[in-house]
Formats: sequence, C-alpha cells, structure tokens
Amino acid sequence: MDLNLVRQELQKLLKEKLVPIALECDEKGEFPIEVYNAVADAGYGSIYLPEEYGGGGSLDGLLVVMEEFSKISPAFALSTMSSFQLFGYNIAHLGTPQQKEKYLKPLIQDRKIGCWALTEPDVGSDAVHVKTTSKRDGDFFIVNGSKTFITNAPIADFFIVIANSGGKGFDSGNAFILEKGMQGLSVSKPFKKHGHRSSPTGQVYLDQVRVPKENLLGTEHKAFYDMKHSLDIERLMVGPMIMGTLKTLIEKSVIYAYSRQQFGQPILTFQLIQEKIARMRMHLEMVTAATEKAVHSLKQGHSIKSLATALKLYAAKVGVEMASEAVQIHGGNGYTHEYGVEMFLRDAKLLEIGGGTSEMMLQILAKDTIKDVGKKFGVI
Amino acid sequence: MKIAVLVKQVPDTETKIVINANKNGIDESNIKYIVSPYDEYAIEEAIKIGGETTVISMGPDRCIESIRTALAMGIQKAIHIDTQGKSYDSYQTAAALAKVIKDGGFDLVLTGKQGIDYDNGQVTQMAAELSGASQVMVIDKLTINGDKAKVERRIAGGSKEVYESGFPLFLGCEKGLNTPRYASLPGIMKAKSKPIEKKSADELLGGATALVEFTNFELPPERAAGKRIEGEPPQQAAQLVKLLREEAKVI
Repeated sequence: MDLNLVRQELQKLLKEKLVPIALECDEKGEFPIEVYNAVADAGYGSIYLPEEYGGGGSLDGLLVVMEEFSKISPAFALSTMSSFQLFGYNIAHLGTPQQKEKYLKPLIQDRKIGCWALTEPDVGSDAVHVKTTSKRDGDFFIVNGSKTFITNAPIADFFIVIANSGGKGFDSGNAFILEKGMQGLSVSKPFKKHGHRSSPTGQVYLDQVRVPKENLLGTEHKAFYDMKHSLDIERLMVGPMIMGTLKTLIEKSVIYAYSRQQFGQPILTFQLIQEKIARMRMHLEMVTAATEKAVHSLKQGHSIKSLATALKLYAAKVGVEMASEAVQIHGGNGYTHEYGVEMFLRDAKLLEIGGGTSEMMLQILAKDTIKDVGKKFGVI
Repeated sequence: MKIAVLVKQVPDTETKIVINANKNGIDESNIKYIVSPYDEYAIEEAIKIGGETTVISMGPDRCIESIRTALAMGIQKAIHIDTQGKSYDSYQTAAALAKVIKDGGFDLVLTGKQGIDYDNGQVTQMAAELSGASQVMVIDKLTINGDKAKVERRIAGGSKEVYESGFPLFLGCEKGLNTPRYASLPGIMKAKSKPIEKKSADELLGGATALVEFTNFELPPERAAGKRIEGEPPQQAAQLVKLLREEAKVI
C-alpha cells in the first residue's frame, strides 16, 4: 500500500470537508455525517478490513488514517474507529461468511455505521460480570439489559452486544450482532460530554430482544476470549490518536509562540516555552516509537497485550499533559474555543477513561509483570 | 477515444521558495511536490470522458509520485519521460511531449492551462503546434459529440468564446471545468499494478535545443509596510489622492 499516497489523498479530502466544520461540530455536539460518508465512500474507513470485502487490509494504513483524523478531530477518529474497527474488525475476525456478507459488506460499501457495546451502568472495568442476559429459546436468544457510554450508539445501524451467557467465570460471555429496528432494541439521545463532543455516545436498551441464533458472533460462552485481540487493537489506536493530536498541537504552539510578542520579543524565545515544545516533541517521538514497535510485533504474530496496555496508558497521560501545556502556551487565547487548542485537551481526557481506564491499565501491567517474574523464578 | 493527460509535478502551493546557490533555480531540498492543480482538472475530465486514458509526465524520478496520483484517481496507464537529472526549457519539453503524443496516436490531449511553478504557460501550445494538432487554452467547458469537440473559454467582460474543433486536439484546462475527485483507497491499491512506461527525454528531443536559459533568480522585494491614513473621510480621500499622485505617481 502506498501510504504516502493514502496520506496525501486523505489530507485533501479532510482539508476540504472536515477542517472547515470540525470546531463547529465540537461546539454543537454534532456528528459530521457527511464526512463519515465521504470517508466510507472513498474506502479510507475500511483500510484495515479484509480486501475480499472491499477493504484495504493494511494495519499501517489504519495508523495513517487514525493519525490524520486525529490531527483535526480526535472525536471523528473515535467514531470512525468504533464503526470500522470495534464493529467491523470483530465481524471480519470472528464472523461467519454469512455474517460478513450481511454486515461487513454494507459497512464497507454502503455507509452503514457500527458500534460495540460492552459497558453497562453498573459494569465497566469488571467486564466479566456484565448483567445483560442472553437465554436460548429455540432458534433465538432472548437478550435483556442495558449498555451505556457506547460510542456511535445513537446513530448506529449495527451493534455488537456482549451479554452473559449463563456460563461460569471467563466462559460466560456471548456476543451478538443486532440491527437497528429489531423489536425491543432502542437507543438514547447522545450524551452531553466534556470532550469528543462530535462523537455521539449513548445508551442501548435491550428489552426481550429476540436475536436469531445466526447472529451469535464467535463461539458461545467465549466472547471474553474472542474480544481480547480487538481490545489490543483498540488500545494500540490510542497511539496514532495522540500522535495526530501532538503533531497539531506542536505546529499550533510553535506558530503561535513565534507570532505572540511579550516584553518586545516572540515568546518562542523564552526557554520556559521552548521546554514545553521540547517535551511535546519528546512524547511524540516516544508514542511513535511504541506504536511502531507494537505494529511490528503484531505483524510478527506476537502478543502485544502488555505493550498495547502500556502504550494506551502512556499516550493518554502525555496527551492530556501536553494538550494542557499547549493551552498554556496559547494563554488566554488557548482557553477560548476559537483557537482550536482546548478541544484537544478535552478530547485527550477521554482516553484515560474510555477503552479501559488508566487505573485498569496499571493493574493489568502489574498483574502481567508479577506473573512473568513469578513464572521465571517459580514463585508467587 | 485515446486521451493523453499531461501532468507536471510542482512544489506545493504552500512551499516557502528558496533560491539555490547558483541562482539559476530554486532549492529543491525539503520541498513537498504535488500535481499542478490545473492538471487535476485535466485528469478529472479524462476520467469522466473515459476511453483509453494515459497520463504523461516529464521530469525526474520523483514525478512518478504525481503519475501514481493520476493512476489512483482513475487514469489507466502512464508514460514517464525521464529527464535523468537534466533541465529542459519549454520548447524542448514540448518537443519531447509532441514526439510521444504523435507516436501514441492520441486524439485528445488534456492538460492544465499552465504549470503553477514557472507559470510559463507555453508547453501545451508548442506541443500542439509541433504535433500538427489544434489547440484551445483556458477552457472551462468541454462537450464531445462524435468526431467534434465543443469547448468554451471565458474572456473579458463576462463573455465567452465557443470553439468547435476536430481531433487531434490539445486543451488547456481552467478551474470550473469540473471538480477533481480524491483518489479512493481501492483506486490507490489498483494504481500499484498499472503500467508505467519509461522513456528517455534525451532520445525524444530529436535534436531540439534550448531557446531559453535561466541565469538569475531573485525573490520579489519584501513588501514595504502599509501607510495608514487618519482623519475624517473627506480628509482621508484628499490625502489618498495626494499620495497616489505624488508618491505612487499612478494618477
């Protein structure tokens, strides 16, 4: 895949369609559906989906696309990823040929929007204890419960819903593919949020939804194993999202500090400002290096669980810190909406919460590290 | 119909131009190159018309990037005229292009009204003349009907000229002709396997020698700071007239 050409053509598209409206969409809390459609039509959304269904099959391409979206609107990156990755990739990875025909093709070729629903009002990090139930009834499963904080739920055509299967422990998850319009399935209005305001987040209500057994995704009872790979990719995506964010903030900060005069000179000449810029660059390089390593490992077929976890933890943290520094460089102007800097701070904050909180990332890293050392020395 | 699209690779419009040490050109390091924007209208028009489409670009190896852009947008095949590190003036470029176009038997040759780097605006007309074809420049409407093409170009005062021509025909495209598409992802993937034929510029020249030599490049002088005229409108107007007459000497 010619990644330079992908970047060049995508930049052209986004410059014309997303750049002029990104700030306004953030302010009004509106999803830029026209841009989503343009990106879907041009095939950039499905860049990591299988070629046989019209996708591009390129993980490197996905990074380019996520970074370019995030340079302008991390919220647009998030919604697009939720549709094409969290929904699309799981169908591509786990679906039967019939499921791919029915759900993957329209996603890739017909502007359909997908979402992936795990979190519940009472269950987030403790995913194995989801309270949504699924009970077999002949050729159907009856699904009951509710989901919350689901990216794209208010606008989705297709849903992957994780429910309790009645099994034990880790073997207690079922994943189902649901469609808008199914009896008993409804969604809330978009939440009003601190950041990622143009990415619609909402609740999913499941009231005696009769799901045909053909819509069971993956193996019965095994949803919590099946989802692991997709979670790695989701965490990995925080890398390019923060890379895009930092690249924009660095450019904006240097240009602003060059033109902003105080005490008769550009503030760019002050070392305290330069220090902030140096740190932004340092973290950009680190996030880039970790992202590239994770992609390399994934291509070699190695597990990236620990690396993706560390990457998400690190990138989200420096994203928030550096976006705050960028606002600081812009001073009072940076605190206004018009300068398009504080949006990145609000957007970055989500990445410390969504897709697994930073606390969970730390806990996973601690557990895995202790286990590794314990295994090596035959202790613990 | 056999259509050729002539594409030039030029520095991005946002490039900060730096003159090279010899002052006979620009410093090409750190420049991001793009397809000359007017050429994009030519590419789009060729794709819309359909038939057998070929993109032709003359320049160093890097101009293959621009060729790939055209292929990714939907042009079927390409010819790269490799300049192998040498520079050619408009006349030589036109001579090399004319040879390729004549040999290729193209009916319609589309290109931008001018390259946006040197803005010479000469190559298309000269190449048309050298290949014995008709040409109309700065067109913003094209209709093809059998063996005739009807083209329109805007002229001063909001009027337009309408031409009808047979083929072979060279057309220089202007903004407004169409809206160039972005290359789609499938387009980019297909572009990889589309053929790019390589030809040597030197061999195509047929002995044409340069008529123009670049000897000295200078950046335009820095614009002087503006002058603010204070006061009430009648005084401002009087002051402005005085400045235009005495300082600017334009009235």
